[in-house]
Amino acid sequence: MLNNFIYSLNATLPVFAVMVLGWVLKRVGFLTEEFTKVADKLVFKVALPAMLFLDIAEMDPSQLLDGKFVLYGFVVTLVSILGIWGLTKIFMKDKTQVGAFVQGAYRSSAAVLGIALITNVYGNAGYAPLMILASVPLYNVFAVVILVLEAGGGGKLDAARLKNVLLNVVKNPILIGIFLGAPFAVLQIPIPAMAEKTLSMLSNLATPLALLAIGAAFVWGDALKKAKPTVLAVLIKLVVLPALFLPAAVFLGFRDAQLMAILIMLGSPSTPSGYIMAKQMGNDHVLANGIVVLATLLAAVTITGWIFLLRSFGLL
Amino acid sequence: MLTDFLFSINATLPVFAVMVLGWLLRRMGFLTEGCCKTGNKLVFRLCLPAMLFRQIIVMRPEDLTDGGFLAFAFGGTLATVLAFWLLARVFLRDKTMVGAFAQGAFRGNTALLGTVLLESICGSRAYAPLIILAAVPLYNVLSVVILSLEAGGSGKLDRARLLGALKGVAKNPILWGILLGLPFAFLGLPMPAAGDKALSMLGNLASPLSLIIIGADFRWDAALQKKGPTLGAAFLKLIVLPALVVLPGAALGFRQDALVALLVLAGTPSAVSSYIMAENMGNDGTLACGIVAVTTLFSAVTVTGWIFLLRTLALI
Repeated sequence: MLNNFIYSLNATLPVFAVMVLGWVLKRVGFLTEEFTKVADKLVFKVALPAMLFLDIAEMDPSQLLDGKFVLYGFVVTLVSILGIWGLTKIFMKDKTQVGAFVQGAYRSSAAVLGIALITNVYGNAGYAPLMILASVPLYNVFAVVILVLEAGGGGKLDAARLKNVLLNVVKNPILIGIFLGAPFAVLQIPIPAMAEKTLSMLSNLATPLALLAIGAAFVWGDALKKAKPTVLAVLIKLVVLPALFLPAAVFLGFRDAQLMAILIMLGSPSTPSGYIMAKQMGNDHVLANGIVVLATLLAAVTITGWIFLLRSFGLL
Repeated sequence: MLTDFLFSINATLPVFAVMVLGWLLRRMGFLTEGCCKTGNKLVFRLCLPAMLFRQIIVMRPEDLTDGGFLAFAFGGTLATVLAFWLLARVFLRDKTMVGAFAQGAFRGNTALLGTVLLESICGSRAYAPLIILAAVPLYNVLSVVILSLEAGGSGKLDRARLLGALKGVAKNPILWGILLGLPFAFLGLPMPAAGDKALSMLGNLASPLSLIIIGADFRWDAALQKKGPTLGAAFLKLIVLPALVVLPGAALGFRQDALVALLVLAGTPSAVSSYIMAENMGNDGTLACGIVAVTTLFSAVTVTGWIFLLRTLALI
C-alpha cells in the first residue's frame, strides 16, 4: 500500500516539480518569454522527433506490428471525441463555448507531458510512440475541424481548409519522427552508434525543456471566470475518460507499459497548444485557458491516483 | 587500433554533431541570441550543479580505493593548471584572453566524455568516481579563481580582485552542487527518489543544451581572428597535457586501467562548461567557444593516438 503510493508519487512528482520550477523561474524573470518560445520549438521540432524516432527504431518489430494496441487507442480516441462533441452540442446552452469546451475535454497533452511521465517511470518512451500514433493525428484533425465549425457565428469547412488540416498532420515533426523510425524497426536495420548517440543527446533535451517551458507559460489569468464549464471539461478529461476506457483496456489484456501509455493518453491534462489554437480560430479562449490551467494543476493529483489504483490491482 | 579509433570517434563526433546542429539552427534563425543567453544562465546556475550533485551523491567511500592514484591525479591536475595559467599570463599578448585560454587548455570534459571514454576503453567504470573526484572540484575552483582574476584582462592581482575571486568561488553554483552532494555520498544521507529524478531531468539538460548553445554562439569570423591562441590552447590540451600527466604516471608505475584513467583525465577535449563559465564571468567567450569546438573535433584522433602509443609500449 505505502509502496504503491510512493511508486505513484515518484511517477508524477518529479515531472510536476520541474514544471513548477519553470513557473518560478519565469516569475522571477530568469526565464524569458523568448526563451520559452524557442524552447518550445526546439522540443517540438528537434528533441521530441529525435526521441520518438529512436524509440520506434529500436522497438521489437513484433511489438511494433501488434495492431491491437494502436487500434484500441485509435478507436477510443475517436469515440471519445465524437461522444463529447455530440453531447456538448446537445446540452451546452452557450453555443460560443462549444469548441473550446470539447477540445479541452478530449485533447490530451499526450506527446509532451505524456512522454515526460512515461520516461520518468520507465527510463524510455516505451509505448508512447505507438500511443501518439493512435491518438495525435485524430486530436489534431478534429481540433481544427471542431474549432472551425464551432467558431463564433459558425465557420465553414471548405475543401481548401480540409486539405490544409491534413497537410499539417503530414508535416507534424513528431509524426514524421515516428514514421521515419518505423522502417528501422520493421527491417531490423541497426542505427549506427554515432547517429544513435547524437539523437539520444538531442532527445535528452525533450522532457526537461518541455516541462520548464510549460511551467513558464502557465498563466492563471481568468482561469475560473467561467467556473462551471471549466470544471466540467476538466472532470471529463481527467476522471471520466480514464474511468470509462481503462477498465476496457484492462479487460482487453493490456498491462504494465502498455496500460501506462493508455492511462497517459486518457488521463493527461488538456494540451496548452489547444489554447493557442482556440484563440487563433475565434473560439472562447478564456474558457480554453481555464481548462488547460485547471487540468494541469489537478492532473498532478488525478494521474497519481490512477497510477496508484492500477498499481494496487497489480496491473502496472 | 581501428577499434580504438571507432570508440573515440563514436564518443566524440556526436558531441561535435550537436554543436554543428546548434550552429545551423542559429543560422536558420531558429535559435535567437536572447534565448541562448538565457539557456547559458540556465545551464550554469541549475543544470550543471544538478548534474555534478548527482555524480557526487552516487559515490561511496569504498569507491575511493586507490589513494595513490587519487593523489597523483589531483597533484598532476593542480600542477598542470598552474603551469598553463602562468604560461598564458607570460606569453599571451592580449591579456583579455588569458582566462579563457588557460581554462580551455586545462579543463577537460571529464563529466560528459571522460567517463564514456573510460568505459568504452576499459570496459569498466571503476575509475570514473576517482577521476571525477580528483579533477572536477579542482577544475571548478581553479576556473572560478582564474576567470575572476583575469576578467576584463587587467592582469593585476590586487586585493579587490582577490576578494572578488574568493566571492566568485563562494557563489559558484557548480561548487555548491558538489559541496551539497558530499554529505549524501560520504555520510550516507538518503536522497528521496522523487528529488533525485527531478534533479536528473535538470542534469540531463546540461550537456545537450550547452552543446547547442556553443554551436549557436560560434562565429567563424571571430574564431578565425583568434586562430593562433585557439590552436595553441588545443595543442596544450590534447598533446602537452596528456604528455605531462600520462608519461610521469607511467614512470611511477601506473598501468592498465589506472593509466587509461589518467589519459582520459588529461586527454579529453575542453569542457563544454568552460565556454559557459567564460561567458558568464566576463572572459573571452569567443576564444573559449573556439577551443571547445577545435579540441572536440581533433580529440578523436589524438585520444586514439595516445591509446595506440600506450598499447604499443605495452603499458595498457
